Amino acid sequence: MGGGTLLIPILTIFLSFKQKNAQAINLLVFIPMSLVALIIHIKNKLVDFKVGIPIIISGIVFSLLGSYLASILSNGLLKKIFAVFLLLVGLNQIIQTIVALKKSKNKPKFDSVKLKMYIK
Amino acid sequence: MKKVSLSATPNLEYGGMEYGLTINPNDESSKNSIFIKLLTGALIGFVNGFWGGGGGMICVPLLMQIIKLPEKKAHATTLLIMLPLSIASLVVYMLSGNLEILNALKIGLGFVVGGLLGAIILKYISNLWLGIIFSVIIIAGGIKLLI
Repeated sequence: MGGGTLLIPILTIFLSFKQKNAQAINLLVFIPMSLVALIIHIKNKLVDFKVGIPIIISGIVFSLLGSYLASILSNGLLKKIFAVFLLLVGLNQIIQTIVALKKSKNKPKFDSVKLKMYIK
Repeated sequence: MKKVSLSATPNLEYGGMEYGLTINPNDESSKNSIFIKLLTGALIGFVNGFWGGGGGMICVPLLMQIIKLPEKKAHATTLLIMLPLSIASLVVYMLSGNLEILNALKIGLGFVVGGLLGAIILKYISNLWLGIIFSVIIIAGGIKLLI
């Protein structure tokens, strides 16, 4: 999860790639990885084609639209918009982590339950 | 009673945000209508094309919350959806001269090696620390890109 979200900023910040080149590389790298996983999932009958096909049809149209829009914007502007996207993803992750922390504090740990039973 | 509401709450079960879109809860068929699927596709496609990724991140919660697929099916079907969408976007990036093949191959190789190493290390690190590390890197990256 989130491999691409990390790959793009690493390429632009540390390797000084242009934003659009980094995004293109991220798309390319995703394809072989997902292809292998997809074949395994299809074999395990986990892929729902009835749900997938209509989503793919409109998805392709809007993919073309989104990537065309990205191609006509400047690298600088695209980078700023991507930064906002990243901050939102990061914020989402922080909220999740805090919720996970609270939940793990509320839940008694299995070890301590076992210990109590032993003392009894 | 007609009711349309949008909600986003963190959900631990699948480690992501829970997106809720309720359209007329009295009509069960509206959840699986072709219109909802086309709308879902439009959103995922645009995000993935514009940012060159991230479509899968919103696709899984959308499939679970709106189309009501179970978690494993949602993950598997997301792959089916993201593959053609990424290829379509990649074609546009290529045609507009934004794909450097040689660099892409080098990074792709590193990605595979890193992926294998990550899978091994994952066993020794808790979800909590993973979440903390991931958010710190992402936030730092976002700030660095804005400055």
